[in-house]
Amino acid sequence: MSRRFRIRRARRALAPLLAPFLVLLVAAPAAAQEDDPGAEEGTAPLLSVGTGTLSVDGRSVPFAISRTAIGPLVELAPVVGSLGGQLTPIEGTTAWILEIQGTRAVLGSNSQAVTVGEEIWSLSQTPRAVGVRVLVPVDLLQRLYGNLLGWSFEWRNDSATLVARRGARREIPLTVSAVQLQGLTTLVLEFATPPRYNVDKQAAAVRVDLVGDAVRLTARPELPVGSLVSRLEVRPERILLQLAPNTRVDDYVLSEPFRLVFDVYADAPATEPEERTPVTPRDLPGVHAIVLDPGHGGPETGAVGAGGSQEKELTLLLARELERRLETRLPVDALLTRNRDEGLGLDERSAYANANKADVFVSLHLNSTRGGSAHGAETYFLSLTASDEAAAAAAARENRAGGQASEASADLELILWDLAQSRHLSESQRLAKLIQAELNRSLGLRDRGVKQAPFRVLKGAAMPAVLVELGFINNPADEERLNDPEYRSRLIEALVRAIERFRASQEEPISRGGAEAAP
Amino acid sequence: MRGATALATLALALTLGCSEERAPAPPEPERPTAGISVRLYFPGPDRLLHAEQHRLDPALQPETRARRLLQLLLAGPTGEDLIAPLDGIERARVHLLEGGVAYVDLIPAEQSGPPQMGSADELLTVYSVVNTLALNVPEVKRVVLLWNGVQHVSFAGHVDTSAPLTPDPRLNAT
Repeated sequence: MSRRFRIRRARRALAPLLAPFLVLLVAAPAAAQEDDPGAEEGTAPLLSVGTGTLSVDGRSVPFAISRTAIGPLVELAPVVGSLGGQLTPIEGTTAWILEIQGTRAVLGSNSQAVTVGEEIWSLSQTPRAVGVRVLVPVDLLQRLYGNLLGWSFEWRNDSATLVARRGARREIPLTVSAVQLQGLTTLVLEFATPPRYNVDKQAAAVRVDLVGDAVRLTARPELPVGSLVSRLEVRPERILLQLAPNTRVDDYVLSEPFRLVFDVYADAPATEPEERTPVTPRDLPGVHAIVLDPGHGGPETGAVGAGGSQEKELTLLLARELERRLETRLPVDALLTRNRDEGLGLDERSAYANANKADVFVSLHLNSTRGGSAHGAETYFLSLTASDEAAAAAAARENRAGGQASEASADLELILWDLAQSRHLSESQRLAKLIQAELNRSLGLRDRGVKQAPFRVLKGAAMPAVLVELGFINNPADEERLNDPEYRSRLIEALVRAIERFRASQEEPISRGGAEAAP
Repeated sequence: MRGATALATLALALTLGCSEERAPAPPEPERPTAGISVRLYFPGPDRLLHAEQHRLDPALQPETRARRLLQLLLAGPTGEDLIAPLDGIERARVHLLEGGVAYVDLIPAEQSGPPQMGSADELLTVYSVVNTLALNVPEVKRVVLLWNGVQHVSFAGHVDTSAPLTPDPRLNAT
């Protein structure tokens, strides 16, 4: 087994574990410079993570730490668990929301700025994501927990300990009320003054821990008949809501007076998600597997035409028909990233192509523009941003300097996995040109060439990859045509012919690498 | 007189707050002979960015200049054929970090996620901001775009906004 093949296998096997880390390395050139002032731009150093201690109220809580040239980074979740607040990852991003007493801070793993309420703060250094953990500089804790809750922090470098000291404990009057509607119980905790607290939602219970504060009931609480909160327990430093079976709970805050509200709903039975069928691995040269990606889906409609046509619906129609015709005409497997109306992340789409060892990735879209009367089709391949190019170039330099196979060079191969499309740019450009030429011929368009853009869905694809805009849905004439099966058939025929030509050229014995360098 | 104008502008900026600009008031007409020339990039019907020339006080600090440029972008183009790139955005905050990264937080009038749009519109929206800031404020090398405080992988499912963006002059009409 060749080294190249071993690395490819390792890359694919480790990809799910390493992808977040690689994204961090690629997406945070600014952070890299700050962590290591001597580092060349784009060469993010690996973050060495150790264990430290969070000391709070005489308790020692182990947590992950890292030291950079600027100072310590400490794991945020244990701090939130001990001092209060709620930390929620933002789906589809490497950002988190930290809510403390109704104040919302948004921090990202590649952002040295954090938005707090209406302000943007600069941090001493960028928060870093390591797997599912987020590590933050101590000055963020000082400003958030210090300003909002009165905590102070001391970092002891020799023992890697963060000592958190609280302000004075308060006793806060608490009034509990509950209302029962059909299928919904609303329970309100009304505090005389905003408390320091942490909400922990579990499967059948919700726990509200007071952090540095205590509560005193103003009256004995009563639950209504049929309440979906089956039991309520109030202690000075903890409030426990026991939930009835098959319920779900939402919580939110109301102010003046400060109220913590829990809406408990009777839940509908869950349905099993449809499982994707893995396909047989393919390691032979040539084009054997083609992944077609119908753009958008689920809550993301994509562009919408004046006649109400949605991009997500038409791209799915086009992709299904293209899949059928490709498999009829060519000895290939065609796979769809989605075969129904469902939301799918951009990285999931290219990851699906990678996991299925696709030889070609085609993302299908319909365009729209607010001005003018643009019509017709356009084909894009990836343009890397300067940050991507710097990271790719640095990794490539290291790779060349590495010489013999080594763990380090294998790591760099893994880093390049995330920039895999950079290796396929000239092939992607060639595929884009073939597709555009066929579309021009089919639709009678003047050749406007192919285009480049930093489209996320193309970035992670480890094979020739293009994004085709098959028409302008905002143009009434294009919208009408796209709803015509005969017109769609012409588009599909053009795509099939282009892929057929690309496939044939891939099986020619002479390498074409570098024949058409991407601009 | 120019010094007094600069001081008045700076005082106004400080009064409004150092990190935010609002859209509603249209920009004051710039005196053609005063200040330095800047080029605002607005989408055109040809799906390219077209420059509109304005003048700004040369005494503005980089972050203040960036805020002023955003205010002008929010107010929209003066040319009839050009398009307001930030339609639906109520205000924008900008923060310039050392190292040349500008964080721009676009805050919509209604609490919602980024709008659905085609790739052409998304490219023009994103790069109208990136090109305008990076090509007019020498201290801005890259731009990070946030939507209501959140950095998204992509606003509308096409352009990668998860990393700082460098300007793309290929989108500018010559």
